[in-house]
Amino acid sequence: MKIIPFLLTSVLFLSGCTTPPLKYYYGKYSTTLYRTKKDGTPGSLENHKNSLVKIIQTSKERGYRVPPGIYCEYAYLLSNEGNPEAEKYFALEIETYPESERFVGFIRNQIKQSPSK
Amino acid sequence: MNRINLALIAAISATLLFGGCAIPMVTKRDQFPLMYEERPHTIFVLPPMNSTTAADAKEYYSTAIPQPLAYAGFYVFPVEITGNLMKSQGMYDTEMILEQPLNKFSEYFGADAVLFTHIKKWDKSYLVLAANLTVTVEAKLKSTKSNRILWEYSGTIVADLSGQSSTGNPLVDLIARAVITGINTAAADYVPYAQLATAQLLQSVPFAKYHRRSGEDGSDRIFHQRPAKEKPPSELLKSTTAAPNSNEKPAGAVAAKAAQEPDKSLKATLPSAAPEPQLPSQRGPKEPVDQPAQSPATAPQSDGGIISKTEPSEIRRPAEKVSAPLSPRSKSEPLRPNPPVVESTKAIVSKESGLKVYLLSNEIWLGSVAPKSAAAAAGLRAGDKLVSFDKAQISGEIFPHLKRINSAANSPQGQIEISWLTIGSNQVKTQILIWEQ
Repeated sequence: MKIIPFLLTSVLFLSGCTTPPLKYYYGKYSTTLYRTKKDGTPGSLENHKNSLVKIIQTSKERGYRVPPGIYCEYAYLLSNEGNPEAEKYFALEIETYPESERFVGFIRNQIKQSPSK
Repeated sequence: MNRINLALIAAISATLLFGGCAIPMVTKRDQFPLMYEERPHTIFVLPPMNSTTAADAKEYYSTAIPQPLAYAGFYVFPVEITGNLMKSQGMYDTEMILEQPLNKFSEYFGADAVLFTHIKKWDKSYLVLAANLTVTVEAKLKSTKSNRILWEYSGTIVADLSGQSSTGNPLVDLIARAVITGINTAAADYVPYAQLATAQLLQSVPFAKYHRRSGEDGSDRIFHQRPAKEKPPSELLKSTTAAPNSNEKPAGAVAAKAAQEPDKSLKATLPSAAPEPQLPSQRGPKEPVDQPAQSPATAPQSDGGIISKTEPSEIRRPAEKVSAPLSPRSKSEPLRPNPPVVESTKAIVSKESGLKVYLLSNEIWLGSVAPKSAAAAAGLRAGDKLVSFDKAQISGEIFPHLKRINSAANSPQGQIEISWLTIGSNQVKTQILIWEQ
């Protein structure tokens, strides 16, 4: 007897219906990303990092391709912390999406040039 | 016998309504030929432009873009990084780049195209008991190679923030809805709505490399619409409740989404001959989102609510041959040189019924039909116009009619007699849809 139960339920089906033939796992990506922008707290950034890790893990478990830019974004966050693991994830982005090579190269260079950030 | 009478009556009345108001549809290829010529694949998303007073809108909106773009098969550079990148280059406002040559984006980042988005409206309004979020966005995809606009749309989304609750008791419902409205708007988390909106609007974009139907969706049909830019939200609502007037240009587009699969095992009885009824089957546990694109029910699914900006005169060619399930229609109703332009539509989704409908003035049109749903089995197809439910002709207020089909879909052994008009044939079909728990 629900009248218009469309919005909330439909959000859940978002990935399923717009484009049936593609499978990505995005977890809570947009929400945690929004929080980092809105709150800008270390906690929200940490949450967003966790959500990226979860996307990578879950995609692997399910045999999906990690969505475009996720490895790169994670690498970017790691490199901002000076974490050497960043390189590995930049490389994974290029491996998964060769078309990202020029972009990733640009970001890497930028990071090298400004080690403070 | 009754049914035949009904069909006749419905056919007559429907034809009257139908006359000047065929839903204007075009193919993706006709609408966005440059997309098929250049085949952009890597997208650099610029920070949204915002001409609303809601400072938040920009932040909300940018987080909603990458996901639906990726699902359309594009490689999307991470928006968080591209946003910072623009700042580090001193580009604080996307407006600065709007008319600039974009070749640097290709040179530096390997981007095929740049996505400009412009938030025109981001308003919350309270009407009766429901709260609505109205979002109007214009978007443009510009080539970094030719600087041409490859694709653009403008659309308005009205999200119902009132949540969901229905007990069957109207009074309790009103109170419950009021309470829920308060809660939801206080929480003010619009990300899902922004995302929904974007997903809906991006349905008009031709698929890119990572989409299985990349390059094959040129004949997918989309609504040919003029953006409803300047309409206030009150008018948006009016269009769904005003007295019937088939010539009235409706306003407002609601983004919402049909459930890919209905929860229940659905079954339709087919009292009269339906064209190639798809018998319901158990849902495929392995690949729930992976329906074959050729299925009559799924093929038009990606055509959903499309808001595009091209003027009628800009249509270059008449609709070309469309895919098999649509061809009979396109034959009987070739695209007119000057189709009526629908300013926008309002899409309502009922998960349970498996239908996504568009309200044009006071008519209900099907945007999509979930595969394997009772409706699909009965032969309902995207682009059909609903004429009556349980012999009650659809006119006047639309919501009571929608409620009727949802109630049927939600109740055990629910059933409803539904009549609809297939585009181009002027033939009304009637079926009884039965849902089984």
